[in-house]
Amino acid sequence: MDLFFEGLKNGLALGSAFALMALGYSMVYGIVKMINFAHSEFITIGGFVSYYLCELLLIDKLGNTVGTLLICLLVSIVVCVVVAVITEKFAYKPLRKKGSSRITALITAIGVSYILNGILNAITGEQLVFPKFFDSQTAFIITIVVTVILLVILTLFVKKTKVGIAMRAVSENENAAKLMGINNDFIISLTFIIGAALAAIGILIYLLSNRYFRFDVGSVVIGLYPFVAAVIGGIGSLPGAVLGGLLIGLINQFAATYGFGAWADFIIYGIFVVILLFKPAGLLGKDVREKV
Amino acid sequence: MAQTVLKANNISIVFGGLHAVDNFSIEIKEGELVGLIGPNGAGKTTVFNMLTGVYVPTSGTIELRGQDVTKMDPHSRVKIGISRTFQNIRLFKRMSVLENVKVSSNIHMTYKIFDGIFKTRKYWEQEDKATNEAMEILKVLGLEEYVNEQAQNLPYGKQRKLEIARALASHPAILCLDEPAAGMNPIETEELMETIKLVRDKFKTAILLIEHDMKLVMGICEWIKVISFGKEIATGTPDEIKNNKEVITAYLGE
Repeated sequence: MDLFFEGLKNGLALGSAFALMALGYSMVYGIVKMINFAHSEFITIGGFVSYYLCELLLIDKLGNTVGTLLICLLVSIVVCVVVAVITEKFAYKPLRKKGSSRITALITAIGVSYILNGILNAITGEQLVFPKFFDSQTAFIITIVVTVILLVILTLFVKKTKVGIAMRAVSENENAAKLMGINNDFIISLTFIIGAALAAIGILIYLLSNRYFRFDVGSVVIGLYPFVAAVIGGIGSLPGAVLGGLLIGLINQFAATYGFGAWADFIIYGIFVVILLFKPAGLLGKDVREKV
Repeated sequence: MAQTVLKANNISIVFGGLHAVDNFSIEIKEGELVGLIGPNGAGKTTVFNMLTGVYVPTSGTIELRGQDVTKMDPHSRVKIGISRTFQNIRLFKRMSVLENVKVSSNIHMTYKIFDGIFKTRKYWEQEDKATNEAMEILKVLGLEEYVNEQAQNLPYGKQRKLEIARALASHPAILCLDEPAAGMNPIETEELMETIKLVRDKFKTAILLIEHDMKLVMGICEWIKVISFGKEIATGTPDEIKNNKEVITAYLGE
């Protein structure tokens, strides 16, 4: 039974981090119908910023305190948001304005991802160790509380505010939204900003329990998980992204806890292939079929 | 003297050598109900697209309430006071009827993202006001019973009306209706005529209307402009248009 709770706890913690990261993929897809592969690099950038802030400035002066962590959080959010906005403005927006095809945008996204990854690798290819802030019990509680609060805020934001309604309008019909007075460019930038901020928060939460990382934490170690989580949950659906994230986290950690760690991906993807066979739009996705 | 709401001066647009619209001019005053008619492919919707900012004219200028909007983004024009419906219904299908209308109230709500997240008083005041206003509009159009229904579940005729309701929520000085009666049966069309008049009187908005249903156009428009192959061929009252030789030729051939 202890093993079970161990798996549950670690699974929920890891799943929460994946869920926050998955929201970024899902929201951007919902609005611009594009998979932003550079999102995985935003995640790593968030991790790097937090790590270097701790190492270079804060640990000496402030120690391993909540204050240090909060500064890391704010600065890494700002940096991730700036990178995301620049990426959107210079790489994606010009394509959108020229009405290029989806595949072009996709390849550009992959390109941007590799470029950012190269830069991160150039900064350091070393194994980094994020400082220890909390024991695993506290880290777990913080993770869950932060995730739940963020989800509630985000859901209310999208459901109940004018910007949220505008976002959904753009996601359903970009052209009609424009002609109803919605500034699409603003809505798209905002979506990237929210996604990047969640990536920064997600990686910080991840690093609280998984302290060893490198430049490839976003692209390889965490890798496709958040993206897959978004698709399994139903891409474009916020609760879906969370459900997918938690599912992956739980399966991954249960497998590890019961000694099948090496089989984790086999089990995860096996289950998902079956899920998608029965629910091609994802667990909570809307099945959109063209009426004839 | 009624103010001019919308003025197009000799607007033309060329698509790869084709003069889709050639030197089109129109001046619409406050509260007028104007028809724009012409055979299929005459360029009526293209005119709408230029007026609302989907296309930028190759030459000519467009003024909206005295302001030059020729090159302005569609969403900025909505703020000055133009809005429209579409030939093919373009509702936000999976949003509720109320939400569809509230999308257009967006430009009149000034609260910031911060207010939205922390639900400040400003948020509640403005959201409540927008909701009440949306309800008013839906009531006028007879859609109040569908408020929480998803837009895609409405019958066709009601969806057309919802598009009008949505366009009204941005408080337009001029409302452009692109074939509002398309696909409606005669009874629905009759009902729509009443609605359009009601909308004009109640919301004090000018209306520019593209329509193929001659009974509707002749029945409610104060004056009509006819275009054919991108060129204006006639302007006048419904009676003048009915008896205009060129118009008859354009529609029926020599």
